[in-house]
Amino acid sequence: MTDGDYDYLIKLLALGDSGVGKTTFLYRYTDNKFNPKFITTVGIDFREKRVVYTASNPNATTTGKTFKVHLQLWDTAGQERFRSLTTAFFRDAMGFLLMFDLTSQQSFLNVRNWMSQLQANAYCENPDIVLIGNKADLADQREVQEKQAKELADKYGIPYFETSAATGAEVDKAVITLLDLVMKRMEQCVDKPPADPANGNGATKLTAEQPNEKKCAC
Amino acid sequence: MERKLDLSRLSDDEAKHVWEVIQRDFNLRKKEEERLGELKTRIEKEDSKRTLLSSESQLSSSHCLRCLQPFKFLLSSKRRCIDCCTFTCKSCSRYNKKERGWVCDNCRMTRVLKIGTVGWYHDNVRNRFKRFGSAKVMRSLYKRLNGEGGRDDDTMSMPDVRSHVYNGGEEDHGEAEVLRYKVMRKNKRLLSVHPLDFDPEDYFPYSRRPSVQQLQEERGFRNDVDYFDTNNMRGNRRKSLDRYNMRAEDYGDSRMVRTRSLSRISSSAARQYVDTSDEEDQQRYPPPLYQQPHPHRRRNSRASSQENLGQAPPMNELNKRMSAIESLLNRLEEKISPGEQAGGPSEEEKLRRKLRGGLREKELSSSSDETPNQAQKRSSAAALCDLTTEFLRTINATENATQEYEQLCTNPHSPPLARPDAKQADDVFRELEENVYLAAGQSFDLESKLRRLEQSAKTRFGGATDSELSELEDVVALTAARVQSAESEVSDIESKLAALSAAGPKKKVSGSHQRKRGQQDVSRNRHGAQRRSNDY
Repeated sequence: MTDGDYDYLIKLLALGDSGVGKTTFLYRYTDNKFNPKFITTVGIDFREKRVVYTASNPNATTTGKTFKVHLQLWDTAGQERFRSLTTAFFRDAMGFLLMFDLTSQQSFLNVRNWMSQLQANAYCENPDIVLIGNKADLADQREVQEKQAKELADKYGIPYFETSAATGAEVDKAVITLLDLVMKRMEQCVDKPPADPANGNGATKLTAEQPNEKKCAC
Repeated sequence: MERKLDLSRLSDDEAKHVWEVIQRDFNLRKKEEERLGELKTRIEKEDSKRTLLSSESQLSSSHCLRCLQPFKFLLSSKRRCIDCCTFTCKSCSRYNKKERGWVCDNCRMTRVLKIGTVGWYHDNVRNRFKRFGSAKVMRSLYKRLNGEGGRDDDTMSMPDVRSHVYNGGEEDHGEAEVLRYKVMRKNKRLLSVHPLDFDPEDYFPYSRRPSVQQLQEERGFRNDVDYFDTNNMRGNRRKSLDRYNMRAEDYGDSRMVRTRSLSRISSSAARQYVDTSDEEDQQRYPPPLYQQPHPHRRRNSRASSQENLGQAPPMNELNKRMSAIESLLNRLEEKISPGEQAGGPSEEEKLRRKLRGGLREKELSSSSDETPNQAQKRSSAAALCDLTTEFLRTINATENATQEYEQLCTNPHSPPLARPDAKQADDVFRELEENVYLAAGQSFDLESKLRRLEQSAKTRFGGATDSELSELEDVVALTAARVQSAESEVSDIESKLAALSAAGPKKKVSGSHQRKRGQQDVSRNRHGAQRRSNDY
């Protein structure tokens, strides 16, 4: 799996309430399979995937540079009893998939708590995050409206996706968007002072909305 | 930021699972590090190749420096790299849209390496936290596993734990190396002779005990490091305000360092890289307190020793003797040092010690095992005896001096002689007092050193026959007893002095012996004496 033939190792981490589908989401992303059984994650786990990353460019007509990226995707337990263990791993990731269950209002309300956990335990106070509402396929059980979630994401200045691990909808897109954010930050933070978010302009429409969020604390 | 990690609620199976995940993470980290290392060597190789070739100006203008193919019109045209400004062919460089220029493959690799090392990220993590997450969890898990299995490795439930910890992650490994080095340095520092050890002035400030009571208190709590600290604080409070501030800072620093190193020691103990028992720690920490170089303090004490020069020659002699004892002790320590380290003998340490030991060690290795042992034992025993006699002599000198001044102090009853001398007598008396405290403090220090020697002697001669060992132990015990009796003599002298100062009709040196107050009193007395001399 981990032959050295890649350009970057990028570490992402999925977090959110228990049962929102973090493990299933990652399983869908790495293996493109769906496991409907609920098996609670014991504390911590991670999966790996090799992807080819193509830097998005301001003018969409041309493709940018391509890199081979090795992804380490941390999967954390949502259960409270593992909390101190899982938060310890927040600092080991450079980007975060903050997930909630579209069929559970409570899991959405807890997004705020997870955000503050991230601010306290990630490598910096404003790391790259995407907000993910999972289980979009269960439309009849939906409790969280897209507008609501979008507003919250805008408030934090982060992208929002509604995904379904069951169908695979938007799963790849969500991860790639996060990867893009992290890659942009990595490029910015190399010897250039990070205070110049214009370098990564237009990378994703969402970062353009909140350029201040692009600064890293290095 | 660093929160306490509570893994007690994990079941054994859960802990095992977490452990395995962390192992996988460590492997990934290791591979990534290797990969970046390889990338770096590749870039360096390419760089040196290019430097070599670029000296041939003809070649660099006609050939691609990377693939060494000649440039041809249209087919493989020249590209100037925006990073290194050398020319490469089209296939050895890529166009960078953002910067609107060509970047040769090597410079591109350099960029990739720069970006991929994510130094900023690691710096951030390091600034915010002590260590990365899996390392933190690994440590907790290790402690937990270790705690359940006891300190003994054989009873550990996961036999592969240690090797994993050792191999796991470069950062941890490096840290451990640093740890081991630190501990070794500590050992060395304590055992070998440092120039400071010969400097008696360093002992002054701590030896100026404010009162007999406090001295006794201290004796009681001698092993408590924290107590030492508070005691120093108390001592410092007696100094003037600015001095106090300076000291407070210094105090904070040294304390921080000490707690830091303590925590390091304990962490290393948990990993069992270094064999440090708690007792050793206790022995290790208090002495450096006396030996810290301290410019401010030294200035202060030098001033007082100059006073001594002018006013109390016997006290100078006393100081000399004290330093003689110090050097004796240090020599003794030196002699015993090979044995003291025998407790935790990693091969590496032994080797280094041998290198350090030089001639002495050569002698040892050339002769049989038995003889040097005995010789060393004899010499250390002799040194102990010497030490004791020296000490007792010092005590005698102190007592003599006390008697002298007792006479001097009682003399003021006969008016014509005493009045002009009152001020001087006061000063001298104060000096005497100080020196007695000093003696007391040093005797206390000596005692703790003796303890250590005793301990090391035990370790050193662990292999010797029982009778020899007990013989030596008797000598050591006897010496310790003598020192103790000497100590009590010192406190006797002190109480005598106290009584004396209380009884002295014209001298109001208070019985509390607080340094500051004493000084005030003395100055008051000075004024009084001057007034009196004016009156006459």
